[in-house]
Amino acid sequence: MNDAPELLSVRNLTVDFATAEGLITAVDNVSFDLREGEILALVGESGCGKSATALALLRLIANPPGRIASGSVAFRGQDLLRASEDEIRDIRGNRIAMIFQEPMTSLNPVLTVGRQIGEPLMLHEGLREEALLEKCVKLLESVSIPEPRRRMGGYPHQFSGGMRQRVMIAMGMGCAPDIIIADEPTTALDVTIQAQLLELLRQQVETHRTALMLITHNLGIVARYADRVNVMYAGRIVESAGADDLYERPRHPYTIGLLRSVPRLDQPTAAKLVPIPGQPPDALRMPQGCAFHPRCPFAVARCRAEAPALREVGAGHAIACWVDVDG
Amino acid sequence: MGRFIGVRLLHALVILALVTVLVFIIAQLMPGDGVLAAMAGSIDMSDASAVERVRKQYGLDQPILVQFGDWLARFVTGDWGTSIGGGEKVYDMFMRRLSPTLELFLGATIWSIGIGIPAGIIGALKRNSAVDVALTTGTMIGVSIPAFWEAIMLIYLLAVIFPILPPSGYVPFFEDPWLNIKSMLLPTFVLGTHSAGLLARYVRSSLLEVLGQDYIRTARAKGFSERAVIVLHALKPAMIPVVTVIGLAWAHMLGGAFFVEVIFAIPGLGRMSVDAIFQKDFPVMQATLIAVTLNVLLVNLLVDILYGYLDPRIRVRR
Repeated sequence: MNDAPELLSVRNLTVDFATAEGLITAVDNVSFDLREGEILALVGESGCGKSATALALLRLIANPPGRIASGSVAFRGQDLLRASEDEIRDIRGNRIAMIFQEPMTSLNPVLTVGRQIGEPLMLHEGLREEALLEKCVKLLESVSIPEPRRRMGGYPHQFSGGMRQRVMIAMGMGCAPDIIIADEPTTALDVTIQAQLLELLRQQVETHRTALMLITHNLGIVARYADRVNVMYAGRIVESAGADDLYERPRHPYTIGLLRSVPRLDQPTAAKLVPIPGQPPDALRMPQGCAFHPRCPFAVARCRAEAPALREVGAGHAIACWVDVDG
Repeated sequence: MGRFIGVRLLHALVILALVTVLVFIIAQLMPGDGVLAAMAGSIDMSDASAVERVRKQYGLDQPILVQFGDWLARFVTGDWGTSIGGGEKVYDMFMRRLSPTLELFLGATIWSIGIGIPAGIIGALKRNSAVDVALTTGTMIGVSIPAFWEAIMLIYLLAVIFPILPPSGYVPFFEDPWLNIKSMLLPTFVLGTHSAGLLARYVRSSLLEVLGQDYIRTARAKGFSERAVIVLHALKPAMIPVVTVIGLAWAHMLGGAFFVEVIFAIPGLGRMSVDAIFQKDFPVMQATLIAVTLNVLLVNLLVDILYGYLDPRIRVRR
């Protein structure tokens, strides 16, 4: 997997939001790579900057209040942050597709589902009429929507939550993108439907060598589907590792805490769940040094003074921590 | 959709029926005998048999329900009685004055949509810019300016200082189309000013709300240009509340039409209805009341149909 060609290379991405109380750094110096056919998970609590990271890749951060302060996003060698409006529009929905987290509100309520699925195809592939219709029907079929031809004329409110999310996925897959960014694609859905949809995305990855960036707070999904995991905390990546490696040997205190706080099937049921003490930091009053130190049981003097950078601690395993806790 | 329109139509008919009953009852509530009062000069009121003859002639000896039936039948067939003031047939009077007022309403609506919607869209897209502030100020003035003052100022400016337009008067369109349009420019503008301002404000806030929705972000993520996002995804949902405002503005125009018709000497319904009220010209008032009701009902029906077209969620909600 590691020698697959690199598709996306994010370096030092920083995103600010101007709020009434002051400037918030939602994404702080984030760097990562994405390869063909790879499923990369971006994990963290809500508010840790994972969605902002995803939106920033396609320059979809609402400005104002948001702003991409610095960094670069190279997609097949082209810097998306410096591309022209036309160039980035040509990539959005075409080479890089996004699937959003709220299937209830992310579809336009006054337009038919068929039209909304057809739009990227019309825009990027110039499909019209019969060809467009056939392609849309095929897409709906591929996400297992019954009677696709009839459902094309339906409106989002006539679909269930799970079906709407399938529609979103069909919409994202239409132009056979190189990268699909799925922002909490299954959060609002039943567990059985979650599994179906993730399976669908995995099929897409396997058959088309699509890269999938899966943004989630659900560690169960990560364990099951991801190849690599980036754990985010307070706007930074604090640990980056292969998924199996991460579950077996988490090395950042936050990741260790996170894994101890959720039930796991590969551990004896007697193992106690331990919550991480304290609260995530207030973005307006970030602690000095490592953002995690007030909650960290291993914190030393240096953690309070200086923020650690991401450093390699094993093959393809990096943490941002002064203390290498071998969990 | 057909069922939806059918239900709305039924509602409208029920309301219309209630209003006709009400209009009839109001006439009955007038103290004394309306027809007899009108005949007071021509017959000897102390002659009981003469009074009885007149009452019989006008059907006033019939039970009230029969009277109502007769009245309704006459009304529906176009016999709306005779104006007490001028002795003219109310139906003829009404129809003669209908077209100037309709033209006034239509022109005012064109002005208000033509100014209000673009102003609102520009305001929303250039939010908080100098353009937006200027537009907001303009709409504020438009909403709050008194129609009679605006009319006088415009006449002074465009008919007196720069004599481009006629100061007042009305020429039917089919007599002289060019003069008709020239003479209607000012009155329609004055009548449409208020709703143009109102509309601009509604369009701006409605479009801003829609632009903040998740599905707009979805449309941007598809690769649409900002213009395409607005035209294809934002305008239709943003128009839903705006349609109501246009309908309301139209329904409320008769009040403004009175001022405009008086100032610009347009022989329309607004003036006629106010005159009728002052002269207690009952047949004319009855006709006006029913016309106003019919106008409001028709506009509401049209708004409902447009609503159903714009918002598919409404079509299923009964």
